[in-house]
Amino acid sequence: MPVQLLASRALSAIVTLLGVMVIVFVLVRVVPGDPIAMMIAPGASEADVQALRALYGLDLPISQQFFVWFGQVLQGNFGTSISLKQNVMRIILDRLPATLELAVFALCLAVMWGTFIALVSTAWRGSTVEKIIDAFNGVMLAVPDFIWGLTFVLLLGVLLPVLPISGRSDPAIDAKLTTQFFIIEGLLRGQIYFVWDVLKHMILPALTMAFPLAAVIGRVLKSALLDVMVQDYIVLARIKGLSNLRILLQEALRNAAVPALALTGVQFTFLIGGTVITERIFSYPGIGNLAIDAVINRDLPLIQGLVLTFGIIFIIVNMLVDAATAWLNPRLRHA
Amino acid sequence: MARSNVETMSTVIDIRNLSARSAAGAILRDVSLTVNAGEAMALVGESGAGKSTIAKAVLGILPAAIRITGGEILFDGQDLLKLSPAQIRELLGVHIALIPQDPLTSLNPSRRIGDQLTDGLRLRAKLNRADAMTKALVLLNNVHIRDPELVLKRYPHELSGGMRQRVLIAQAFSLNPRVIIADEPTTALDVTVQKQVLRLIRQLQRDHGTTLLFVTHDLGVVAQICDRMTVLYGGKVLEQGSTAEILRNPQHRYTRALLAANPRYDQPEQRLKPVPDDLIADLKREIAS
Amino acid sequence: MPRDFRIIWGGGFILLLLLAALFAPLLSPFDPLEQDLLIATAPPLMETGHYLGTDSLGRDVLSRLIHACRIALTVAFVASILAGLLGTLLGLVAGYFGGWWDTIISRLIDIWMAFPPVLLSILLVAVLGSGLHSVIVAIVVIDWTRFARVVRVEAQQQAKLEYAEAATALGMGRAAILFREILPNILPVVLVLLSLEMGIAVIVEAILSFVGLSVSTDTATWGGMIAEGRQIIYQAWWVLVFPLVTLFLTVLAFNQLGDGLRQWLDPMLKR
Repeated sequence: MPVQLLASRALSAIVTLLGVMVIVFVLVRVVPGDPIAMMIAPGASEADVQALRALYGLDLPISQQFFVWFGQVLQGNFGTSISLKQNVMRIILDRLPATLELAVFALCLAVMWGTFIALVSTAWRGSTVEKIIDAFNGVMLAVPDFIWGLTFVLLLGVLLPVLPISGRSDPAIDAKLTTQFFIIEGLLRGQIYFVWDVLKHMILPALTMAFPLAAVIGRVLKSALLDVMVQDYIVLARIKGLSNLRILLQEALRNAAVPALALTGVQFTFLIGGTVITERIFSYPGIGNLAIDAVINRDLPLIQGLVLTFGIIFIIVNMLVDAATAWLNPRLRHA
Repeated sequence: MARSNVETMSTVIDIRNLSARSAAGAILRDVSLTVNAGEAMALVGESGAGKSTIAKAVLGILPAAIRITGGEILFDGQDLLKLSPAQIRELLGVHIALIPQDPLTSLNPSRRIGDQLTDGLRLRAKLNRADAMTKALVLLNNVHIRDPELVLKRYPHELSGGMRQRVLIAQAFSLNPRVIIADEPTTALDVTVQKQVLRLIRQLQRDHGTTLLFVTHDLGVVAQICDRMTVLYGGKVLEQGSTAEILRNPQHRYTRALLAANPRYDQPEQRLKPVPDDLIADLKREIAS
Repeated sequence: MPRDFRIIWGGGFILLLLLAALFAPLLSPFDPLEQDLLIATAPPLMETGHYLGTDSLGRDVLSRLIHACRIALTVAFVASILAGLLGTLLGLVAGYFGGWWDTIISRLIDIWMAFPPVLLSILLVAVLGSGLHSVIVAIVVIDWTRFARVVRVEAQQQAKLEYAEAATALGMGRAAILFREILPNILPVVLVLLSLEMGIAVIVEAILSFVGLSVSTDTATWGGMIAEGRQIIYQAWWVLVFPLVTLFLTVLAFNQLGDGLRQWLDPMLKR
């Protein structure tokens, strides 16, 4: 990828992040309710309230509050959570690995499933198989992740109880890990049984997040594949005597992936957004679930930290999508 | 070798009474022609004459909208129209290859030249990757590409149109097929490059003793590289014979008109005459009956 | 008349919900708030009159389901129509007046689109506090861009057509042309978007009441019922299943109605 393009992307990412920070700060500081009022016990003295205000820096003028806050944020200091009474950064770092592992797993599922249905319905174009897949894809697209999640809970957790429907791992298993990256560390330490248990807990929430994205990828990639399949180089590949499967995988897929990725890239961030409600449904201990608790408790420092964390994740995902597009497209890579 | 093949006159492609239609009407009307081993046969005609349809029918890549309504295409005595897709795939690439019309769109933009060039060598001739690449260097040398090692690692967009067409020619000859079909292989190229590419095709065809079916609308090109020619109009064969014979003494008045409409390298001052309208009208009436 | 199956069933189902919402007290066999711990988590049974069973507090599931239509449809209609009004107005202004208006509004849309809706809704609800008003405001603030984006492009195209130029030549004022000539031609598109937006609004309301950020937990909402059903899923599946199926059908109905309308209105748009 050309350096200039990369630099301009990075610059716009920083600007976006700054924008997010300003919006977060402004919105949170104009909150109608007084967060201090929620923390103090009934009958606390005015002096106690003032002390708390000073502790959280709420007694300074608003512009000063912003710069103090901004400086702290740059150092990774989001303050202390009001509801959990702990350092916000530590709480988030503790919960983030669970969400990252879930989101990456879901992303892989979505890409694989979406690519699979696009390939199958292209290969069997005009047959009943294509019609069935298209109809199924239509339903996957119309139904939001909230409903998918609860349907999975009912079908695969209760009616046919094959998979766990809450938590991240079986509390009875103590894997004695030092980090929260259960899958990665578990694999490194060779704790296969534990990793399998964690994976089982991840399947339903990951499917919930993956389904809507898989449907979009399936639809967009299929139409891109159909565009590619009439190109001259595909016809020539046929004349070279290549098999249909090889033509689809070796000649068509990569060329179709470029426009498909450009169109579905934004959807990847929706998947990250989907962690919020999905983690709630499956009582999964990630930052999405944490965010809902923070909102319910109106825990401002925690909300700020979480929103910025999500913002950074969104920006990183967008940059990864850009990088993947460049990698798939040799014209961009060498330009 | 090539010469002796022509002398024995063994027929490689024998098209008999081939007819095809689309929703718009007849595309091919009772076309019969033979191509002998080692010779270069031109299919000449304006657009819509059916020359490309014949080439596509031989390759088995007719669009779904065009339907063959009768006749047969014999390749070494075997009717291609009766083969299963799997059997056709066995023949394609190994025994029948194509030099496509547009080199700009006929190479996969996301694969390296080396990989595309060696598809046939690796998948059909079962060479390993290293051997295939060594063979590819020879192939690129044969089509006069400089620095073949570098070109193998390039992507299509890094090569000029003429270079890409040379790569495609090398690819077509890579498995030494019996028949190569060239579908207007020079129309997308610069005039200066056209002559070189034509000469290259002719030379490789002679060296390998390949049978060439050359689709074109350009009589100048036909004169330059083809032994025999078939003149088509409206899906019908009007005239067939040795190129020298027909150019010297065209029998059909459409062929004469076509010759008059073509620029001649030996007579650059001559004024070109378009094919007269009344002749076209006559032809259409004749074909429709 | 549209003969499209999707319009008939989608519209029909929504009409049914509307009737249920309007006549909820008449249709419900029980008071949706009436608790009876003696019959808590009673399974669906015809004899008891609790056709769809009761929840953990002994409240009648069917009655709560019917009353919950009120919240769902209120949010669906109010939020969507407000978002539609705001978005259409801004889209019209940007598309028809162009110039600075367009620059500012387009930039605003870009910024909004770059901001993931989940983040925005977390922030908004955190700031506004929970409750029905917050839910509606959040939907309007987040989703006006869906209308503005489409309407802007439509208005640009309409403004180029002959009738708009003819009206300009006749000396009609720009505002008059906008509202009397261009708006009616864009209305079908807005109608389609409105139907789709209502489906989204229903889901957003359900999600927010599921996590306890919508109306108070006493009031019957589909999301609230689902949340309770999720907790007691092993004891009483019916508390989760019925509101979930209703929610699913409602979202699907709005979706299908929108798709059907799009296809039905398409020739009218092309005319």
